[in-house]
Amino acid sequence: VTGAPSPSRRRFLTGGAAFLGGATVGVAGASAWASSSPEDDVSPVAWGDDAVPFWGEHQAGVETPATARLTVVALDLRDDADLTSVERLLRIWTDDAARLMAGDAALADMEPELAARPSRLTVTVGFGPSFFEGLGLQDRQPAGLIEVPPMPIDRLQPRWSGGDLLLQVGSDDPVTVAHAVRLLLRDSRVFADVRWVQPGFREARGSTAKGATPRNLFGQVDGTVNPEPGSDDFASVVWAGEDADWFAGGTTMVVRRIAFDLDGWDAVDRADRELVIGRRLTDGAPLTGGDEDTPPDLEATDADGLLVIPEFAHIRRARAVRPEQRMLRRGYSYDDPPAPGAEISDSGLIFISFQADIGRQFVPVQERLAELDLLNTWTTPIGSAVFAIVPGVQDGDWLGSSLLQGS
Amino acid sequence: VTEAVSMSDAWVKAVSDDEEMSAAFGVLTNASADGITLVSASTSVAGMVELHEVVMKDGSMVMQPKEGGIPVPAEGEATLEPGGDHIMLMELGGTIEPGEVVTLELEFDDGSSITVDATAKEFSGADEDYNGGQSMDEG
Repeated sequence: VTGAPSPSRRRFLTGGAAFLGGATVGVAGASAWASSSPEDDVSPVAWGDDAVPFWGEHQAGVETPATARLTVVALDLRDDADLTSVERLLRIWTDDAARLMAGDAALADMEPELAARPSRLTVTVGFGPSFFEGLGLQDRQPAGLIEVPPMPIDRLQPRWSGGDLLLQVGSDDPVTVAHAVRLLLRDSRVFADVRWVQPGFREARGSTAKGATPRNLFGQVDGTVNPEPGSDDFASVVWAGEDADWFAGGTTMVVRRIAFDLDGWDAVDRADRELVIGRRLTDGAPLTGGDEDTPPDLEATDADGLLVIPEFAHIRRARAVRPEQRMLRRGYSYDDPPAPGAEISDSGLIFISFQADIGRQFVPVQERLAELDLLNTWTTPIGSAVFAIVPGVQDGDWLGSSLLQGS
Repeated sequence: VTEAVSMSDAWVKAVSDDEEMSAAFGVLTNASADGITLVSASTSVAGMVELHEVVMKDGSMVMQPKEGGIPVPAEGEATLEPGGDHIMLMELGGTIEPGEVVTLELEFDDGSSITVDATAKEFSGADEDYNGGQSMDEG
């Protein structure tokens, strides 16, 4: 800022703050960041303008491409919440989400410039079992939404578990995610308290081939066997059907926070790492050959008569033994700062799956993994939450209306 | 009949019990070839509604009634926003909860009027203490 102080700056300095504080910060920010040379400004925006439609049969953020960044937030309704106040919250969130995903500022958005590059922003809203219970809607809770039964491998912490409400906010741009999350939480602040926030990430957009399966922080290709978006198969695996009443077009979401023991993993050599998972580290192909998409030969034995893919291998335990046990996995890594001291990392996986029915699809697979999966040696579930992802809505409607208006 | 002026992105500041004032904001768009001025507004939630501006006076920004109303240029827009022109709602009968929809009646100098639904949003700015045009931050 040069020359005489502008009225807004002057006002800020004299402490009148609230009214024009936003403008002042904007001015100061512009000078602080405007350090790039003119030549840097000529390259076109690569994908900042990419927008995902908000209105539709299903909510975005499930069948839409997984973005580089994703933050999941769980909230708990205040004790005085009722159907009327929840409707008001959902109307606001619907309006916010529709505007932000289109690259428009939300109403009362004090940082509209941060909304201008959606970068495939998606906002997804869900309800936990405690939402239905707290509002007296137990009899309308989707049949596919059940709590994951306690597993012997679990070391669940309340701070990463449960929640009445879910917000999933994804974008390829972390600035966009931060702004959207902040704005949505500002608008829910009078209705609900934040229970937990889990920011996650994948490979940056453009750093790997489009559609490539991501790698987790163990270095493994993670998420190979997924239904193909847009297919009938995807629809039958993920979306609740017409028989689900108000929930038709919705899905259920499992969020499991899986801590990785990277120090322990460091001691495992590559050959053993591949046996643990059942896939080659280089390309994710099964140890029985082919490429990443080749089905594993679970019967194949080596010269000594041992199974090539051992009994304890993750892909043997995690596979759907029946077609109806499949799900959409859409996990993200986390890499939080460790507590000061000897620990050098606090890393893991935010496991996220979508399926029409948790009891039918997710639980049998999870039970097999808990029973015998050598990967459990280095992984510990420390959080668990389930949500009903409500159906999408058409322009003018609001998320959750099919549930709340019929109640 | 299609009115020349429309309002989009309308919202009002939510207020709790102990506040008696709020304000409405949004974007007025004039599709006609003539300048049109917003001259008055009303709503069932407020006993008194004024059109306000924010001006520099003696080194401070102050709110005051906008003489003659808020002009919307021909084939142009007027943005009502915190820190600028806005519709001031006073003598509120009660709270305005976040997410509540407040219906505003806007009247223009060409004799037309429109009805606008404005969503209430929690907002910590626009915190003006209207005191008849005196400085907000004296002392």
